[in-house]
Amino acid sequence: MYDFNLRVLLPYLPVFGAGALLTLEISALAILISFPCGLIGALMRISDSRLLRAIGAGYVETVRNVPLLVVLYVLFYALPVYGLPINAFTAGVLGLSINSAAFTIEIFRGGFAAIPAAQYEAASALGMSPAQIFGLVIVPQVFRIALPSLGNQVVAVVLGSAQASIIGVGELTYQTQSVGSSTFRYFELFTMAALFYIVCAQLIGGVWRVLTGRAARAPLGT
Amino acid sequence: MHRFSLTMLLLGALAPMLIATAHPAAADSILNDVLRRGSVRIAVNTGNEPRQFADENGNLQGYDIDIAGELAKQLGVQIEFIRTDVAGRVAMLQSHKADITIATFTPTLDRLKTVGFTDPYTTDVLTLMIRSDRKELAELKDFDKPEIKIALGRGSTAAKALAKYVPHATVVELPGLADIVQAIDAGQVDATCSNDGLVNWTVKNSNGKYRAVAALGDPEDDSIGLPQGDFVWWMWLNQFVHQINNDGTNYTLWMKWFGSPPPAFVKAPPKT
Repeated sequence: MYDFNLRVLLPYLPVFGAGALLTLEISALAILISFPCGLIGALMRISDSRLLRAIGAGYVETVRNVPLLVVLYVLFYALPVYGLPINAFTAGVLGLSINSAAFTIEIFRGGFAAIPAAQYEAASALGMSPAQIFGLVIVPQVFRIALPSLGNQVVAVVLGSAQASIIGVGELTYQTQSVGSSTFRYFELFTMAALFYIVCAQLIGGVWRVLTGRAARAPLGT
Repeated sequence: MHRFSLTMLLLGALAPMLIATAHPAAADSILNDVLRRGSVRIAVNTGNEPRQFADENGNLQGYDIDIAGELAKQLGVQIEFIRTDVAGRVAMLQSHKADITIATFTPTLDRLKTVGFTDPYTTDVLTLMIRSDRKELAELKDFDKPEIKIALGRGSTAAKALAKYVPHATVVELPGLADIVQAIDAGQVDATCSNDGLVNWTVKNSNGKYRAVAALGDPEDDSIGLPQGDFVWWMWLNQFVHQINNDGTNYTLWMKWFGSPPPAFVKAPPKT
């Protein structure tokens, strides 16, 4: 009979803490990189230039259909062979950002699609430049519409960061498996890891909600 | 906050229940289960040439696989191989998904707190392997620096040996041998540390790309692992190990895969 005992993990709490910090770090970086990229990508996808639209669509359709794990393998194992040295941490952040950007592009594109064409025409009729139309009228509303989906993406990035363990990034899942392979307390460990992930996702989600609180309370006007 | 504590409660309540149901009746011996089932479930760690590996057709081959075949023959049952990795061996025994593991498995006092072991059927020596072009890494002390990264399969006893012999080196745990070799090729790590059988095989088949450098300490025992607390099963397995060690069966299998004599406790077949 397996003796479920969380106390055996007490000596490893600092290791978990360090892993959780790294999880937060790579997640936060990936979000900071991928969300602006997502907005730029979405602008490309709705642009008048056929070339930009093609690049945007090509990126989304390629990256969205490749597992994050494969992206991480390519970055970590293949790039250095072709003379591009990249360490595990950078490969992890970059892989997560590349993956997250593809989904974020689609989230923002959905936001742009929800703005009626009449608003562009009205803003234009008022004599606004294209930059003003986007910066002052369209993008703030797009951001408001996209907020709930972006919130989901924030959580998806935190959970996706677990896959960086496969290339040796010492985040939460890596530490869980590492401690597991010396203590063999897998049931306790993965219970613990689940709790840590809930905390991490709630923490980053909390920061996200604070940062976007005002926008989220704004009415959805169309 | 409310949602958060509810999740914790659910997890806490569910985990022991799931674990409790995963076990067969404790009073019965695994030996009886195996005989009744007509098959023995053996966890192996694939990708460990020439001891356990899959050939081009996906069939398992190697020295440990031959030992498993001999064991099944003596039991008079079929084999169900369960392919896992270094760390998975213990988990398979713990969760009773496997009846035994034969997978270059070294008994340690730590592991004995969780699983059981027979007496050893062979030994292995942990050996460092590097790319041949890394001329500056010539002996053990060259590895004892923080900038030297040594890749390991997760759950290997090599982690302890490295902490003892090259405490300043940086250890990177990767999922398996394929990843480790790839990481060495890509220059992401400087070396790996594994059993001498695997290292020598990899070196021999690499056309000079890799070389073995230094051994870490003395040979370690390799034993058959089994779930804890089953004396009847342990007794059968241990007697099996004694028999193949003494009647020349083990010696013959070892020579077939390695070509040089096994450790002294594995006796050659009697001369006729």
